Amino acid sequence: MKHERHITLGIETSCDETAVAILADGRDILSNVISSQIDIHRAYGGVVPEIASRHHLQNMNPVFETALAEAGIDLHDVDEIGVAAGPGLAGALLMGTAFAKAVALAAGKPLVAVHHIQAHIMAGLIERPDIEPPFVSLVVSGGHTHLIAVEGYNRFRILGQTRDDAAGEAFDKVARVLGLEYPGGPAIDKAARKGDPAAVHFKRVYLEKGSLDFSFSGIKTAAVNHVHAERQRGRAVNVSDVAASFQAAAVDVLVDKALMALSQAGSDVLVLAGGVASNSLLRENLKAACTAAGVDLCIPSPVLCTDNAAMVACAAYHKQRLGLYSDLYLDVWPRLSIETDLDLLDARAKAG
Amino acid sequence: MNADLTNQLQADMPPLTKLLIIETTGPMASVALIDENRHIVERLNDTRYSHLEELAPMIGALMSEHGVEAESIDAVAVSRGPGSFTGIRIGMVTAKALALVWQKPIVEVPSLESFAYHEAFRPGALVVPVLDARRSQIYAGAYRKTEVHEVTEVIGEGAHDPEAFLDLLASRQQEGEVAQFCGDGAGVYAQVLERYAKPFVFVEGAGEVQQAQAAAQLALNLWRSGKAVDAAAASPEYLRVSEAERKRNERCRK
Ligand SMILES: [Zn+2]
Repeated sequence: MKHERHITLGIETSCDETAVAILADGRDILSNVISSQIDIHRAYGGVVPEIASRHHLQNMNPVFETALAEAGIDLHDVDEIGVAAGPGLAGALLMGTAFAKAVALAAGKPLVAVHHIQAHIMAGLIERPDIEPPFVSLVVSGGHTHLIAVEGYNRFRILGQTRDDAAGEAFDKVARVLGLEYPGGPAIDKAARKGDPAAVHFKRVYLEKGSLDFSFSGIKTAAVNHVHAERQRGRAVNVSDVAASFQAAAVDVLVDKALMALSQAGSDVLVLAGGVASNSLLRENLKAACTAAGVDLCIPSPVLCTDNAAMVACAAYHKQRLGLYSDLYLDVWPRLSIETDLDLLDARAKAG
Repeated sequence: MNADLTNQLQADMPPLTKLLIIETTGPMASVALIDENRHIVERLNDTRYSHLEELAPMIGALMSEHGVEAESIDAVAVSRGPGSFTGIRIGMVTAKALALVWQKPIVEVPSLESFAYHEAFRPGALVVPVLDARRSQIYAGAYRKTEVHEVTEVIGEGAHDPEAFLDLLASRQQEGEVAQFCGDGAGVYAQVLERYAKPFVFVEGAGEVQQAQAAAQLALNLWRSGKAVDAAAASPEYLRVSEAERKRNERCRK
């Protein structure tokens, strides 16, 4: 008997998470398996690409088999295989993509190439399938800080982006200087809860009037310099206060610019996306600001904010509805603008 | 023999063993099918280092060209390294996915030893594959081809300093033997290898780099001796830890 639901299998290996998920009708998560290597990379203070690739290779089969088993789905019942083909670490992306291609070949399934950052945005639509483009998305992660106008399921326009560090990078750096553990985002979040956000004033950087771009290197440097200066004066650094003050400065700018973007784009729907979306202060302040402004705010649950394959499956689901399939020649695209249409890029590469 | 008896015999015969072989540890990707009679068909990609793009389509094309269905394949064999780390992984992850979906075992084929099985080498040849391991080292081994499809190990695979490896090779090379240097490291380390005191040649053309048809012969031998593993268990042989691990281990020892 043919199943009645549309089943999408997603594969994600852009960084240090090996993930496979199965989604029904683009919204019901049947399984969402994530094998994190975070404990392995912590010893190096960051993700080591060669080590990540080695672990992806050994993790792929068990993660894939677990995802099918947990979903109670036979591979025959899968309608398409979605895979994040960029951006990300080249060697890491290679593992998911080569695996996806081989599965597509062996099982005779269509392949859909997915843009990792676009997938982060699509994560919001899993829990809120009532949301449809157009809407605005704030993408905040270790590698990205973007305000995006989502104009269609495959049309993304950059409204603003960071001119220097990504928000997540700044969190990591400040955490390191404060002696907090890797990754820095959750560590700062935790430390800040016991701190006074007004203890140290860090200048909020808004750039030119009306600009939706970000700059976090200034806030980051100010926090780092503050810590060094205090230590030089022989004063003990109050880690919680500095973490709280730095976090408040970064979050203020993110929230203000997100609301500016909404009014510039004429939208009243905001989807928060990316790993930093788990930050509790960002969530709280964004909620308060959106409620006050009458904006419908969608914040995916934490497991859908950090790298996962359910978001990839969701993006693949929407792409196949537009007929956007890839083929077995699919390559990976480690550096990829969020505006870039992966399918066009891939087709161009093949043409010559 | 009448037609009925022929049909009867064919029905009683076990289906011929067919292995699919993937070789992506070198500069050129290739795939092959080998059967019990050592009949081999192969597809070779002539674009260097385009393994990811080309591999899956090559496998599809090879199988459909020869009318081979997944059901008639007994195992997926894959060159498991040493070689390019990325190349090793593309082949291995592809083999793992195919074997998982088709529910077949995997035969892990050592890439250096398989060089000696290339048809370009005659019985009696001393085959010395040399791969560039960076950091002034080579991945190398030495193998004596005793029969058309039999090879004995003279020096096992390993990461070596080129000079030390040549000393070891000289001590094991027999009278009348000519060391046949092959592999992409032979060119990179040509200046060192040229100083080798015993008879040698640089192999050019067929047999120069890793190729699936050679790996296929070794794969069949391994398969016949029962050396196959589960798809999930199959793993590469890098012969080296990552740079980050090496540096960390050094720091820890200090
Ligand atoms: Zn991500």
